[in-house]
Amino acid sequence: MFKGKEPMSNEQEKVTGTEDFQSSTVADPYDLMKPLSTSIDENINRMKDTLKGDNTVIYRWMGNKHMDSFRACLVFIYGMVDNEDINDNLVTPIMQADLSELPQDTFLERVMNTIINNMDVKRCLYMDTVLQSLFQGETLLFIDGQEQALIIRSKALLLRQITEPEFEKVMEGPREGFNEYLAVNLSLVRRKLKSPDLKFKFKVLGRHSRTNVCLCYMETLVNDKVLGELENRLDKIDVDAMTGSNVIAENIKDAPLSVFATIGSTERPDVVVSKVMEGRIVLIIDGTSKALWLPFIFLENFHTAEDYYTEFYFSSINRLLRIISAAITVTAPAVYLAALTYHQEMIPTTLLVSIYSARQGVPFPAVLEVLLLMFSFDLVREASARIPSAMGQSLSIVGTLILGQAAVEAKFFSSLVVIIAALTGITGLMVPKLKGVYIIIRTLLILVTSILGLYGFAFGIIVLFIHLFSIRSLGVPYMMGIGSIKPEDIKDTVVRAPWWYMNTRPKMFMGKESRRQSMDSRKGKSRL
Amino acid sequence: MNKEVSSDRQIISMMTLYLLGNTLFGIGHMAKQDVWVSVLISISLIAPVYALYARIITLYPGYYLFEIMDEVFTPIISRLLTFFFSFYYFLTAAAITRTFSEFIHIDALPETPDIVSLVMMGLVIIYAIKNGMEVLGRWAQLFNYILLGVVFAVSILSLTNANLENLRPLLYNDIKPVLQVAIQGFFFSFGELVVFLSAVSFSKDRNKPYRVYFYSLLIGGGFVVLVVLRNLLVLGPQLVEQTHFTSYNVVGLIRIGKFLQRIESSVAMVFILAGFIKTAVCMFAALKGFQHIFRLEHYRPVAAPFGLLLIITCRLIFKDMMQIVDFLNYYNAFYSFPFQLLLPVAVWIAAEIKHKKKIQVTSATSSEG
Amino acid sequence: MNYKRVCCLWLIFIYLFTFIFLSGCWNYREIEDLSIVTGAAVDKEDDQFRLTVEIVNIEGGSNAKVASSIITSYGATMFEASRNAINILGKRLYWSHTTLIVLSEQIAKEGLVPVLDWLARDPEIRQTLNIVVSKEKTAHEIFHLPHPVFNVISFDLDNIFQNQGSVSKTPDGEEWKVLKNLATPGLDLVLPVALLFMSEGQLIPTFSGTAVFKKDRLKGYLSPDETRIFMFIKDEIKTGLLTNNVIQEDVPVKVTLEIIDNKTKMKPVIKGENIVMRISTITNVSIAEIEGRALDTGEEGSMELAGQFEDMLQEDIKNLVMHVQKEFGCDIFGFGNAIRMEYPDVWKEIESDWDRLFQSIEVVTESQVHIENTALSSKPIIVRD
Repeated sequence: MFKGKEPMSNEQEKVTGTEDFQSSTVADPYDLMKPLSTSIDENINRMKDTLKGDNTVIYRWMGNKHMDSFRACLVFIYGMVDNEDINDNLVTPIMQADLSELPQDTFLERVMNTIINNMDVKRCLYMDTVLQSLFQGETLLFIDGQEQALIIRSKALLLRQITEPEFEKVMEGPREGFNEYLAVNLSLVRRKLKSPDLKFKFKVLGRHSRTNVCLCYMETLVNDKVLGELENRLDKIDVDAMTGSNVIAENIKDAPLSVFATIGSTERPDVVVSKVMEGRIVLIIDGTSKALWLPFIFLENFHTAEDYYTEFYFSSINRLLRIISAAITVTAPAVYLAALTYHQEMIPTTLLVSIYSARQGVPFPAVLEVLLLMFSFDLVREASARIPSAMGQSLSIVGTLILGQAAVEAKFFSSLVVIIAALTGITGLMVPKLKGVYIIIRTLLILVTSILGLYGFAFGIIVLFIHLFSIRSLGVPYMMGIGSIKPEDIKDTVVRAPWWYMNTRPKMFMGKESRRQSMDSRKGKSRL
Repeated sequence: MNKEVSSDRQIISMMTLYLLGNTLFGIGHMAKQDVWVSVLISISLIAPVYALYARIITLYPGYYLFEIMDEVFTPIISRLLTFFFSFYYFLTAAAITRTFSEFIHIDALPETPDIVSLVMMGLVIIYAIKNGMEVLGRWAQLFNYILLGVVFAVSILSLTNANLENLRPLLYNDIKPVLQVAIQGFFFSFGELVVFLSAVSFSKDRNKPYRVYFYSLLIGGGFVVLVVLRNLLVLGPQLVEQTHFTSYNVVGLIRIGKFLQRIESSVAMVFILAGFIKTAVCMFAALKGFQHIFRLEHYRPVAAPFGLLLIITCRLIFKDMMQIVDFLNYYNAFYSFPFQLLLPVAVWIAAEIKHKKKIQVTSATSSEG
Repeated sequence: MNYKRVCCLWLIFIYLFTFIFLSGCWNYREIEDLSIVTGAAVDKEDDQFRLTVEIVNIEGGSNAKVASSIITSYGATMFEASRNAINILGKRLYWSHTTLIVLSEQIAKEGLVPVLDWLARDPEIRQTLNIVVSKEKTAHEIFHLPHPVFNVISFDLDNIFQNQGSVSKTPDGEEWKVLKNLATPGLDLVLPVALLFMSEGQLIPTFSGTAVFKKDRLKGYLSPDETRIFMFIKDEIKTGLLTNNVIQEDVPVKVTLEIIDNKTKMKPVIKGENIVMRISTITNVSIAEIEGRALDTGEEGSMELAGQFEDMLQEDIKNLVMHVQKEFGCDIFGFGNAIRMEYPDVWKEIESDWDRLFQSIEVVTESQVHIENTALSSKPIIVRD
């Protein structure tokens, strides 16, 4: 964490954007909508009343060297402002300058334009707006006799360095990731997309948190209906505090009870750019490093940013691997159980004999064995996610030695089920986004399989896919690209086609301009 | 009525799976080694009937069969026919469910009471039809590729056991049983696609009914021929006659090397999935019919009760496997004839007359104007 | 939240859980509660079936070793005998992995149907198991323990079947083929024969030769060499050996050929009132062994060599057919079936009289042997004079 004025290693961290956050305010039931008065005492008292109990607010009364009647008060929140900036550029000029020479009728304007040494100063009439600015970390200047207050930008940025996101690491792509500061994030996107079509539209959400949410899209590519629908849904959100992107995601999801996420999330600006360029809408939320994008399709769960930076055969193989791993992790325990307890005729004889000998003396029925082992695997997984890394070693010793080896040797579990659990566990970690989904579906499949064997399993699969096919993400079928063998449908879903082949944007997002690049972009190169 | 639009590909997938689901059984043993000839004859017989179905839809694009009947008949007749049709679909769905529960019962779970598998099936079907035809269509599109792939693969693997001599001599037992079986196949498998007239609404600009029926016949019929041929080539006519679930037995014989064997469960899965599509489509058509008769806002509220009714009905209509086989062999043709042939022809004639009149009226008014 | 929906979900959950935890088992069965049958022998004793099954047995603790043990149970029918085994084992016999059923000579003589029906009907039994006839006094002798080499006798006997291709001295006995043969008109059944032979002072089971059936009753046996010729006629030979004494300058030299592939065509020809079966074989071989010197394996010599083998093959085929016609009168070659394929109308007339006609049917043979290569040696071993 850095404080604003400490020496900075990275130039990007000092951000002084020019965004305007006051454009959309929401009416509050307090009397904050009343305009400010001309009396500075009254104004300050009102502020003190409203902010009673908040000791971080500093009121700094000031006079002027040349004008005795001048009374002014600076209000800011300690820790949110840049101290030196205020000292040098606000306090000093106001105290030292010869204010008596300024004409009374345009006093405030002259102060604003000639005295205050700051790039962004606004005038403001309402208490409500004034307070919002205060909480944003800006400094307020009340001057006696003026019915408008000045809002002066003086934010000190407390922010995390721009680092590579932990869960979306790449070998060959850009290494930057979002941090928790909206302005930084927007600038990261803007730098990669210098088009006037790229729009950033703000909304303020959260009754008390008043969080800024930015809708980010290409105006020429986005589908207006989809955009309108999304804005509608966002407007309907009524929560106390917007603590993270998931609050929005769960509130605007198409199928609220579904285990599947129908909204994509990323911490990478390059991913945001590529999604925006497909005509999708990205939500960047202040205070969290996760950006959301919609519409989102099922197969995107299996995509990583890396896919676009490595050579296309390799990334296609990786995508297929991820999809296969999903199939294995969900079905392996259930199929194992079905074969073992209902369809012993399915198992090759030699394997059957070895399972037969491994199962001798195991106290649990096979279904309980599978459930218990999956449960203990999830215990280890969850425990290791929460503990400090220094203790990881002891956990892995307990996990592997005690749960694995000792349990098998003590005939607590049969050795084959441990192999199945390990396979399930490894494949389950390949797509971290889906790990919750995996657990639920896997367990349900195990249960139905234990009733009707493979037939129960088949019924489970039918229901699973009916469910998957029935959900939509912002009107776009979630399973888009599945069940089709047309090249234009699978070029960037199951596999990744070479860049020169991806000439058109995905049809489903219904962009206005479907052509991505000239059709013969490859031909030009091949002539060389 | 709210329309749900499916793409051509989705409808073709559903129809193909529907036809594939019927190959679980070996029926038509009278024709012995010439069953495949019978199937080819059935296909050529059904082609004009499919053209007729497609013509009906083309005359009234975007309409379900029941709505077309409303247009061309008097309201009372239309409602009566709708009721009969719905009942027919419902019983078909019940028969299919019963077949598959019997299959599960005999093949793998003899000790499990069949009510358990029936309730599971019922729940799955209720869930599916509640989600509507469009979802079912997309589901079918995905599983069509998988299931056809599996059927094709096991057929290729079965070639190691195949013997061409099983098909000879051609037409040894006279042509009569062959034709008889062809008629059976006409009604049991192919004619049942009449249900799609009531389950799917073909929209005017998105669907081409002729094409849909033609491709379904080509792919679905092709696979039926493939399966029948495979079974004959491997088992020979005598053993095909001896077994209930012939395909299941045939695939059980595959034994290539030490590992590629014991894969008949794949076929069981194919039949369960295809059977699910069949039941769901029939149930959907039946529910659409009941919705139409009682002028309901939506069929969804009655889906669950009808699903439960299905479970009870299917236990009532057939006592056991032998009854099902007997019914399909001897009575099905008479039972299905009015719904698959007679009434569609009647609707078609009435629709053509109505259509001609409409054209005359419009041309007359336009000439007046 | 939607109250009704929650209720519905709860109901489904309760339904699933009661199914799982209150149902007991139904078909849910743990693998260790089964006795995996690997092979079985069926005898008949006083109107009762004596079922001798070999089951998988696990020996030892942590280093478990797979072995087998033999259990005997009795019953009036096959199925009853199978279920009676519960009284001995405390577990149900599990038949899905059975690879071998040995029938005693007595059962084979009395008819296969009582045994076969259960094998065909029970869903647990796989149709790919092999059915063999024991040439010993009883069938259960075949599972003679302890076996000096094998842990589980049936599995290894099954391997003998799997690798029969390179010997071709035993016919195929897969159950579904047996059922099919029984059902096919104009074709009589053959089964493999199991017997014990003495090796290093111990009795070892093996397969050798063919049991010939009329309908489902045993008529007699063919020797292993006859079996090979039988397989030639049936076009079931894959690879195998041909051995002959070749007369070279009045000295017989033993020559062994390895069959690369073989194609046999059986074609009935109607000559007036008579039906003549034309059996033509085309065999590609390579020279595997020459136990002598100075045999010319050049272009001309090969032709001559092949010629001698052709003569031998034709003679053998004729002799075998004659033997079967005279001794058994069973159409194990499927002559009737061939006529049915080729001349369905003729077959319809003669079908009822076929048993008698078969015995007098004439066979014309025509064999071609092509020597494709001489393996690594281009000449016999040269010994200096």
